[in-house]
Amino acid sequence: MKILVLSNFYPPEVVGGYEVACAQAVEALRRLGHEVLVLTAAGRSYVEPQEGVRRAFAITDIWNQHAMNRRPAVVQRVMDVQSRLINAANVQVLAETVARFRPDVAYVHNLTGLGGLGLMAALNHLGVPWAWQLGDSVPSYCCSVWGKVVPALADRFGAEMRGTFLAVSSRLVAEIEGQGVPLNGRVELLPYWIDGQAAPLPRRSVRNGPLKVVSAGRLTPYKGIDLLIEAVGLVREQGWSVELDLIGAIADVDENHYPALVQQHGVDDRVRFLGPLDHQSLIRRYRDYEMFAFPTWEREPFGIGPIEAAAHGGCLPVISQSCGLAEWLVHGVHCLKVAPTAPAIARVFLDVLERRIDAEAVAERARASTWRDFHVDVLAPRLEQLLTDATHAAPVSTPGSPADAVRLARLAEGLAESLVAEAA
Amino acid sequence: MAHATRKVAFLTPLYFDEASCLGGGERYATNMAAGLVEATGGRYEVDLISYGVAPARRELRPGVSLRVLPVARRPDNPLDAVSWDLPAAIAEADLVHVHMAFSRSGEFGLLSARQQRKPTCASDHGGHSSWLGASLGSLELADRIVAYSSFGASLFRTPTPVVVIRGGVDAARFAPPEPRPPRDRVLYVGRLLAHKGIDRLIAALPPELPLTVCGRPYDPDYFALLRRLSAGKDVTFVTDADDAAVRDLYARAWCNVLPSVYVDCYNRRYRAPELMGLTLLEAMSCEAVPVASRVAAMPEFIKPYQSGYLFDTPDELTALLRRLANEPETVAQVGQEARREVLRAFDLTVAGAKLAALYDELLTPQASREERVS
Repeated sequence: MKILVLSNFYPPEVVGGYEVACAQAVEALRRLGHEVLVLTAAGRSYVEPQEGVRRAFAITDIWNQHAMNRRPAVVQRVMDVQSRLINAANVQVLAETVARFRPDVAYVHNLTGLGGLGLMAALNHLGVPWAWQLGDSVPSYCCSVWGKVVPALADRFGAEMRGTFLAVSSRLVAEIEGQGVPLNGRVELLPYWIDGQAAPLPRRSVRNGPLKVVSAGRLTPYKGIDLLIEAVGLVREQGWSVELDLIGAIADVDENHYPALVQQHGVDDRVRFLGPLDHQSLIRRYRDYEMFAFPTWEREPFGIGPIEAAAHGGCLPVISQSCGLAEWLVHGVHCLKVAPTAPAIARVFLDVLERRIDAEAVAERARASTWRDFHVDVLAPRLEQLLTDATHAAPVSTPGSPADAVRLARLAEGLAESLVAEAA
Repeated sequence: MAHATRKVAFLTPLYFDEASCLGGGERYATNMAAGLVEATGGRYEVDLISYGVAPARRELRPGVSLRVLPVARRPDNPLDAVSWDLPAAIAEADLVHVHMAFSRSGEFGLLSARQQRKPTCASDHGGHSSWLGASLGSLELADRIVAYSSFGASLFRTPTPVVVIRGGVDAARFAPPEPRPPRDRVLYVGRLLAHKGIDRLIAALPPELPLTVCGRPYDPDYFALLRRLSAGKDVTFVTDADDAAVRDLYARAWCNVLPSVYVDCYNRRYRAPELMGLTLLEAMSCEAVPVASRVAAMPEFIKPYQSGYLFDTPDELTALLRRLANEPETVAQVGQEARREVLRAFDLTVAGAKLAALYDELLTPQASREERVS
């Protein structure tokens, strides 16, 4: 098959797990013999040209709050629309790419920042069947203005965007539909995956010191980072010790937030902020820890970190009950599920430290099941079948012309801008 | 074999109602909807889709419904109204006809209709509030442009085929009364706006002849000017007439004058002051003699000296008004021919039948745009 992959970012440009998973799937599909072209955004920094990757989309970066706050309100609003609804230049890039590459199917990943609704409408218009890998509530994002889903837009999305949705968890599907955005067509659950090859782990001696815990990703309160720091303090009060390494960029809080929190709980000698690491370095680092803690307390569509750490580092996954990954793992068998509160997390730490739980056995089962069930090459044949099925779906109507697609996009963009300007 | 009923969405930013706007363009859309339904014996139904503060739906006549969508935000210009609900409303239609194409409403309609692959027609009624679509070639998103005069057709710059369907007057509603009251005045019917040239009519009015100026004063300054110009002349303003009152005025008039101009009394220029002149046709339908300036599309609807008169200068108009006031036989003869012309060529059922033929063609699969493109 000729597969056109759409993604806002693509390695080495990485913001989170979405684009890492995208790249892993691309390589797996290529290993299966498919011709895959990735269409993604021009890098934030210079990126060497890559075979099979076209960096031609423009991304509207609305996540840099510092920069956004300095822009006039009307500019912020226009950027919001460009990010979510329509970016005519990106539709033009897509139309040109489709005309040149002539894909059998589009495999869509994260479209935030690209004017995703317009891109999906353009795929429909051009008659390109698609399967949308949902690692987050991107359809809701694409049916929103200024952070709020527009009901009429969401209804039309449900009526017109009929394709294949591959969601990483049922709670993600429920979340998107709960926001009023119907996912019509075929909805399949397909967990996220890991990549690489299993390597023997160093033999661990019986611990006679602190429990070594890691968490990685966006370091932000809703990922449970504040709870982890507090839990480390609670464990210390019980006379035990946990060393917590936090890997990733601090987000959503001011620069004084975490230093103050660490001091408040008296754990400045127990908690380290190591900053962001590239994916390979992160993978190598997992061997240094016994546990990957992921007590996210808000929505989390999946959570790839815990199973990556289990596979590559033999870490025990400790995850919140509410994250998407919890649907795929069994408590006490492949992971420990925990309520997202500091006392509950501290209790798990103490259970491991005091050996009330056989952490090594759970970690080993987690490791084995991850390589067996969550490796991208294991999941790729199913993905391949779903993409093949998508190509067989009857088209809604005969394809429209690329010229019309671009004209529609420019008209939509112009109308949106005029509405924003009038409202300003 | 029985035909399935086909639904057409007429998208118009304003509709003919006190709650919206009482203009020829708005009346035209309503008339064409009625004509389409009537001419096809109900084979077509029309949803007249427009905008308001609150959603509403009501039947205007069998087969024609008015659907008011809630505006997303009250626009600066009413022609620029849009609603998030429009795509869903359009989704129910087999074909979309976008009226007022050069407005934000029209542009959003063209976008939604083409995005949903609906066969699409577009018309311009002279209300231009947005040039965005024109700058992007939005008319190419339509399958056909429907103009109601050759003059109107000549204004389009697009490779999209333009079809001229003249007329659209409701000859059943606008019919001469029996018995006819005596004719005793010159008449103007239409909105009181400067490009209508009413100031020229008042200036040319012989002092001995009465004139009734009937229409809504949408421009207070111009209305004040008209009243000042009327001093010393026998001019009556009627600003709240309903259809029955207008019909009565047509019946009492020697002639109905439409003196529209390319350059108004404020020196403002108009590219298309009249794309048809619906009140002219309504007057003709009531056997009032139509008198029009030789401007824009109006000469296409009048056969000079047979079904009406055209003038070029104020002096010509003055002489014509005097003549008609003093030649009742001429008025009766030309007035009757004017109605015959309406029934033959401009009645809404005649125009509706032509529109149905066009829609039939577009709804035939091999005529679809996709086929033509590929």
